[in-house]
Amino acid sequence: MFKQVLYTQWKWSRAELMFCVVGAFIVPTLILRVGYEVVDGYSITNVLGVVGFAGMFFGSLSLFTAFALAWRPYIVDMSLRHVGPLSLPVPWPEFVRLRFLAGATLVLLPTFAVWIGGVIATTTSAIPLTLHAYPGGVALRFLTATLVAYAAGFMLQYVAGKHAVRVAVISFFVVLLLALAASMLGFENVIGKVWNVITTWPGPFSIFNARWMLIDV
Amino acid sequence: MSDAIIVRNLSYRAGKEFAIRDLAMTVPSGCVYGFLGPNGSGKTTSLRLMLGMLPADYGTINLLGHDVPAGVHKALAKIGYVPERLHLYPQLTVDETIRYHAAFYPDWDSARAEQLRREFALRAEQTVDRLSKGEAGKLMMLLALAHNPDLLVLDEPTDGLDPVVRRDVLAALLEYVSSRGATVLISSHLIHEQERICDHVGIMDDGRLLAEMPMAAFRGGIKRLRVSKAPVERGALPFTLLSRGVSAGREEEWVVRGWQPAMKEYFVAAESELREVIDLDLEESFVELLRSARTPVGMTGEDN
Amino acid sequence: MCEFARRSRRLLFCATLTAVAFAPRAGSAQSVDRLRERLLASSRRAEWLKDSLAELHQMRSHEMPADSIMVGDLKFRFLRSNVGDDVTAELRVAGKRALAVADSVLGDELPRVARETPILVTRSNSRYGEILRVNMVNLEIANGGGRSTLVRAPITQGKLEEAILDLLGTMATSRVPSSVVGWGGEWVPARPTNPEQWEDAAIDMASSKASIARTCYVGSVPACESALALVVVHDPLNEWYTPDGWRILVATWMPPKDADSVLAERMKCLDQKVNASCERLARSRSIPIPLTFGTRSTLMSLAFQRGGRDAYSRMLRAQGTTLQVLAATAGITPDSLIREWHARVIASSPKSASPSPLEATVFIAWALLFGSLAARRRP
Repeated sequence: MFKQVLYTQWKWSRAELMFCVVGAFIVPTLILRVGYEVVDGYSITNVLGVVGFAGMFFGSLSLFTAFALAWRPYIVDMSLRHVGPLSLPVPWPEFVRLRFLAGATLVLLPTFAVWIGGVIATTTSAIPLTLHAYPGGVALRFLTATLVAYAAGFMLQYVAGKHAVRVAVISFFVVLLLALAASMLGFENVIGKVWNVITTWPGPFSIFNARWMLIDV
Repeated sequence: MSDAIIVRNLSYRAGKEFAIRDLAMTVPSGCVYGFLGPNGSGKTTSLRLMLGMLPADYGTINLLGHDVPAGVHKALAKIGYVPERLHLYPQLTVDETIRYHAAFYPDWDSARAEQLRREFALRAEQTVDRLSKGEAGKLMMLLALAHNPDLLVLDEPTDGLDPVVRRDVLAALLEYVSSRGATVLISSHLIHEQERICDHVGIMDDGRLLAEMPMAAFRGGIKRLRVSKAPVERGALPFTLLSRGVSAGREEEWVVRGWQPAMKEYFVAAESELREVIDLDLEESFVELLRSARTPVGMTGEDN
Repeated sequence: MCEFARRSRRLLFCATLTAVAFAPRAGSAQSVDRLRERLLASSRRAEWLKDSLAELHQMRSHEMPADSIMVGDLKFRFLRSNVGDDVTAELRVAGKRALAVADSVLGDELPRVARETPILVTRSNSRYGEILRVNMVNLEIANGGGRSTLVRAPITQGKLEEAILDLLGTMATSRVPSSVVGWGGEWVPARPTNPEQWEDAAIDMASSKASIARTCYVGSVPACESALALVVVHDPLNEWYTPDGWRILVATWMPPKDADSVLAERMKCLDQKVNASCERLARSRSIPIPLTFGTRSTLMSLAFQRGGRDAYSRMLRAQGTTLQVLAATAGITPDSLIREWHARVIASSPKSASPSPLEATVFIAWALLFGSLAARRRP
């Protein structure tokens, strides 16, 4: 069963996945190459700046991968009114678990590309004496961050159903308005606190709040 | 003989307008049960409730000995379901779709699936979104039959298909039923098609089951009577009067259900004259049954 | 207060006139005598400004607000009608918490530092349109030469505590030997250094423009002392920086727009990589100390931490070079202090991007939790 669910997930998300894989493979090397040319490669601060820029790419790629994997299966099933999954002889939670695991398994592909791409980028760049290369570390962080974001997106999609996009967009604007109103009226920023809770350790999205550095101190 | 489907007091509300009300229905094992009703009468919703796809507000459902929803997935392993609309993933090929479904059914018969694919002339590498309506219908029938189900639930399986494909699909269905002795619950608004294959019928209208009976009783049990000097006071009727209207002069036409020849005595006792007993075909019977449900006898304009 | 405001405006006017009158005009030929004359006049004017300012602060201290509260040895002066009971209550708690934090750094000397001068508290309420207001609370050291810190709405205990700690650091700075104050960025930390500051120090050291700082990172104690500017350096450009470093220094300095010769030299340095040009340009400016104030303050913090409760007292009594004063503060030898500081900085290097096993476990748990919640609702 898992193999077949994995296959369907692959078929739906393969274009986005291949985009992520190719991006993860090539972009870090490109950023380092071009970055070293543009900034003074002999300034370690500049080198760290370029590597930090590449780190932003990894964070964005992680979110994109998570989004691509989480969104597609539910949209496809929803367009078919979920008749397929519901008429199969497996309990619904079991089916959702299979879908979830299939997406989570496919995260390994771009993760592997991030690792290989990182190794190529760092071995072909001059690393100053006081700095070190961490392609494995970045790949592990990418894997973990993508899993968390994928799981959050997957949950939003399966809990909010066909209203997921509406729920996400409305929530975003409501939060924005409340934050703005709270700060203008001088109230203690509750939304800011909530945001802090989810983006600082051990909040789920604190995984993104880190140094995504291929080359670091 | 045990029953394949037992539904009792089933209620479900979808929005303000539509509801399934107090549905009670029994599908005996081994029979072909025609689930008749006009469009929007609640057939598809009832089937989805029975298969555990929708949560009932009230009532009990038993499918092949398993309670729904608790044991529905066990029952579904023994059920072949052809939904009203295509439910297959458009990007998958025919072959991938077959393999996907095979993975979920423990009794999947690959040889049988391959045989059906050839019989239905489906190309293995064709993607589902490129299939014609007929091909898609055949593929859904293939998927419903290939795991040797004990119960087939078919929701308008031939709706929109051309006569050749319809014949192929029904032939495959009948061959399977005769060889396996499986139960079939088939919903349709195509009365003549049902007449040929069903041995039980249930008639739905506006979320209610109006009648449930063996096909023979349905076919022969509804008659049109031409009555002269019809009694004004009806008294206790030995049959069910579905409708009553003036035909010509002082003659009236009655449509009755549960007619037996011995019931002529009622008219003799009422000093009326029963001039003719006319057999109705299935479609006429169906229409009269619906009309009587929607407008009770005393309410028709013709009844005066 | 009115007199204060009037005098302040007059002083500002005078200062502007002075600046306009004595600003050097580019390209004008001036004789050395005229230049000397102008400098002398300028210095007299500066003296006058300094005296006026001192006088103003003196006047301010006589116009102290009537109300006050004591929190430990800290005295806050304010007008109750201005500050309000809510902020007063917050001040009491924040003051207590700030004293507890500062006690861990300044130890036995804290009461004396805190008693030195009251802190003036004023509240302002800026209006934005009809509805919105932004509350601000200003904390200022009385007789502190206008040293103050502003807390913006929302006024929280945490923000007030940080502001009080900043002011306690400023108050503590005034008694520290001037050589140490100059070296440490004109400020003594009144709170322990947090892990982020140590991490910043590690990044600063590893990525410094100066090769001497990177040699320090690798483990040389003399290099660390030099990079921290704790020993006498005769030729900072050559002792701290390599030619690549000169180039980075030149690259980070913005040349004047109309100095064509400087621009040409800069292009030679940066584009053609001519070391002589880089050196000439670098020597024309003051050479920055390799490690930043932030990094240097971690050393001072470590000295306080190592020295215990009487560390600050020892610092006030100590004599000699900055390194000797810091070592006396810590109560250990200079080499030991530097070695310990270096080890602490290296240990604070940022973690690799890889999540730790604990982090990985927690994040996988989050993912599984989200996944299991997804299965709870059927479509």
